[in-house]
Amino acid sequence: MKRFAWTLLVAALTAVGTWALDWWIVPVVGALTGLALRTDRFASMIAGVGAALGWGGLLGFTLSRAAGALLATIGPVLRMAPDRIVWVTLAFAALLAASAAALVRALLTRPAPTAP
Amino acid sequence: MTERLGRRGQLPWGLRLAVAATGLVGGLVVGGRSIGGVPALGPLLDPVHGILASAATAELAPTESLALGGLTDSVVVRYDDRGVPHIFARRTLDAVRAVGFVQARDRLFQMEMTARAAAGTLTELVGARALPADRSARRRGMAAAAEARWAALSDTSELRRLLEAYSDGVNAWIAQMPATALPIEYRLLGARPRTFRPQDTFYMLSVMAQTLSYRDDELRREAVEALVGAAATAALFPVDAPIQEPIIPVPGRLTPRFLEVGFPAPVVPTAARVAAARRIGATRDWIGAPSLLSDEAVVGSNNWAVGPTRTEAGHALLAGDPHLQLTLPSIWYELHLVTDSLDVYGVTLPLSPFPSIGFNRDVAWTATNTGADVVDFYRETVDDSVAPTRYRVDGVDRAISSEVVAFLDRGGDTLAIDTLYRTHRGPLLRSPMGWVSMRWTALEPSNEFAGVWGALRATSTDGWYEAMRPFRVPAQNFLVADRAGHIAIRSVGRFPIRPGDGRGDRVFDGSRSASDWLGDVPFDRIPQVLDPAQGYLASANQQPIDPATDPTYLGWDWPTPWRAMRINEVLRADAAMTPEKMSATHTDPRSPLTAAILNQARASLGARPGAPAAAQDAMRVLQEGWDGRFTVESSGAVLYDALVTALTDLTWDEFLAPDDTTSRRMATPNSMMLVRLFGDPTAAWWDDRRTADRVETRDDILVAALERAWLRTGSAYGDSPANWRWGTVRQANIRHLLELPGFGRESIPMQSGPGTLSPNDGRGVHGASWRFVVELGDSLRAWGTYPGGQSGNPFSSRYDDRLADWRRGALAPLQTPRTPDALGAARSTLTLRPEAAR
Repeated sequence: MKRFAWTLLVAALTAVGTWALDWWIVPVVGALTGLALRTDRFASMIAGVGAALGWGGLLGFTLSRAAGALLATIGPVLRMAPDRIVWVTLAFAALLAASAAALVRALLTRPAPTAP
Repeated sequence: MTERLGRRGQLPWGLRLAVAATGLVGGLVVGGRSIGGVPALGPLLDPVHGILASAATAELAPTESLALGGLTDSVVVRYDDRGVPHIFARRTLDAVRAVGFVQARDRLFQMEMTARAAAGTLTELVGARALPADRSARRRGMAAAAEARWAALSDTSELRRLLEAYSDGVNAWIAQMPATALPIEYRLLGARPRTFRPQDTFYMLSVMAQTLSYRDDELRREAVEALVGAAATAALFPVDAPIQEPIIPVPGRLTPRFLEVGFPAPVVPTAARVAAARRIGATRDWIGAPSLLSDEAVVGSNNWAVGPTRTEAGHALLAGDPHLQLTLPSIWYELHLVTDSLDVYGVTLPLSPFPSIGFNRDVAWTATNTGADVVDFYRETVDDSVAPTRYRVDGVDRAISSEVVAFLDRGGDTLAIDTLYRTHRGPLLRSPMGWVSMRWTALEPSNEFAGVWGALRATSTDGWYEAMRPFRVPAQNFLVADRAGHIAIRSVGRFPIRPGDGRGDRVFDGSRSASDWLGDVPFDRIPQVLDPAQGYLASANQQPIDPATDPTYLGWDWPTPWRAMRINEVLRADAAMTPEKMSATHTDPRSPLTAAILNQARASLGARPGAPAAAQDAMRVLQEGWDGRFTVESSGAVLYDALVTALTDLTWDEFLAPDDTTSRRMATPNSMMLVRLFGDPTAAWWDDRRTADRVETRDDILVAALERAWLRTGSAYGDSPANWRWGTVRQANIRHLLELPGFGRESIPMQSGPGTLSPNDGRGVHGASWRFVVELGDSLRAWGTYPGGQSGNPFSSRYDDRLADWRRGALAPLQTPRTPDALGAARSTLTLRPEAAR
């Protein structure tokens, strides 16, 4: 339950941050997630899924008027099947957030050197 | 296994760190940088500000009401079903302000690119890749010329107020556009629009002047002279076109006039000559401008008009067909302005509020490029070959002015430094052949927009030309028709008079003031005609006037006459012309060049009974399997094109440097010279120097070209002619301004061919930029289209909605409502209200 709540929080932060600032907020939110959940082995997953959810929500809002038509227009421009655009967008957000969270968590949880 | 996964099944710490760092760095790199032509993914995929947001805001809202500062009254903008804004305002200043607003809304990025191209500051927007273009622009002094034109306008001039209103309109849009409306190009570049200035309109003029009038072929001519000799160069790149089909008709003459021509043999290319040619040839590359000497002209504009006596309805008809670089967004923006004192429809170049080509209720006009020689170069004697400060004229030293300029990148860091030099003639350029100064009409005072602005309100052909007196660059063959039934054409522009024999096809001696221009051809002496007896007029960039009528020097090495001959042939054959026939002529698939080539090929093959089977097969297919039309489905056109290529390669081998392995000729005489060479079957030019053991004649080369064409076509497209298709060989490639993948429209099959009204050199990056027909009857009727659409947003349905029509050669009816309510189905209505109004 706690992890689910964190995922929703990450999604909300990602969506609001992207709306107010820019795409680079995604790894920043991911890094903060890694910092906050440094003891949770699922921190990077929470960050990745949350970021994808956040961008998914924004996409849904952006595309709410005419999703099919818009994606069909964009598809040929990007030389990509329309549905794949959505998946690539979500995967990109997930990659940025999850890797940032994992990196921060790894840096903070370096194991102590073992005695020879 | 447990050890490899670490505690609780996790990867070892070091591996986790490495994977996470790699993922993050990789994501940030592909997110923030363009790699291998793929745009940066971050700004592209951002769901709020990225590509999807651009798509979501791409279409016009059905109704909108926005405030626009500076308006004195509300302006209604109604977009018709083709996305054309019809702008209704009481005052013209308000209308022009609205033009700036709506043009910026549709074409903001293109407008900034244009202004920066002339200013030489593209690097500040797109980065270091634009440095060569910026260097050229600054060395040519285009920005200074634009600023001088603006400074020359008095504070109270109407034109100044109009341009200020226009740029205010542009800036008003920038100030109030929502974040999601920022053009995607800015997002991808990580840039913001700059503030526009009234003089930016003159920068646009500089860009067009460069496209249409800048030519430095006399520099290349010296290289050609070094390679093949002065006499041969003069014969193959002559002042007068050897086939005369002039713009100004010669009364009673219905066929072209063939001038006497000789073909002096090329000189032997000694090592010294080759070295000199290379050295001089490098000069042209250094200055860097498109050359007509290197290729058949491909920017081939056409226009024609028919008087009431030769039209079915008894009204004057006018057709325009300017050819320019094909880009997306398109080079033109279509609009209709209606005010208390103006009702004009046409196409504007973004950054200008005035239609360059179009019509009002009484007059229609269009242009082809005159292609006159308005640039000269002077070899200067300077005091220092590295950093000159003085140059010598008539034995007296004069000071060289200099200015150090910096080229900045997007972050404001200096990319490069350059020193710009000037003499009294113009920019002084350092080249491998020494220091040369340049004089170009586009760099000197003139007031084109005063002419254009006046002409928009003309009510007759006479009034139109009178208004256009101030128009000097780029010189254009303006064809005009009016509602009273008059048709006329005049080569409007400034044409310098040179000393001596008056020719400008060489580099002048800069050490003598006697080399300088003496003045301009007087206004009443430039080529012009009103209501010719033949009842029709046509121009297609050919030499404007037969030298037997007026030998005044206007230029040299003129484009071929094939397009003009074909248009005249069509108009001569039909005394009941209609708008539909005028429209069909735009994409006419025939060329007089075809018959000239094929007739000679047939005769030459007949003179060689033992010709190879491949040559005979080729001739058979061309003769029996092709109707001479360059249609998309044609197979014969593929073979014919290969024949012309082979014939050109085999004939003009003398323009290859002897040890050159690139197979790139230093120059290529145009097809008009090739056809005239047919009349001299043993001319030295027919000999292929690469076959040392024999001396070829015309017939040998024609047969060899047929054979080569057959073999190469078979090799490229298969042995069976049934598999050849012209539409796969000649295609239009319309690229985005930044050449972003997917934002262009490429490989569009075209009905165009060598010497047709739509020439295409194979690259497909030039073509018909605006086709239109106007009938000036009791009620105005017009049709038109251009390759692209009104919007610069790649996700708008108005980005390329006209391409299909354009490709088919179809024109759409143009709507010309007098009031907002008179427009039929409007796609969108935008009300612009004064800022204080609520």
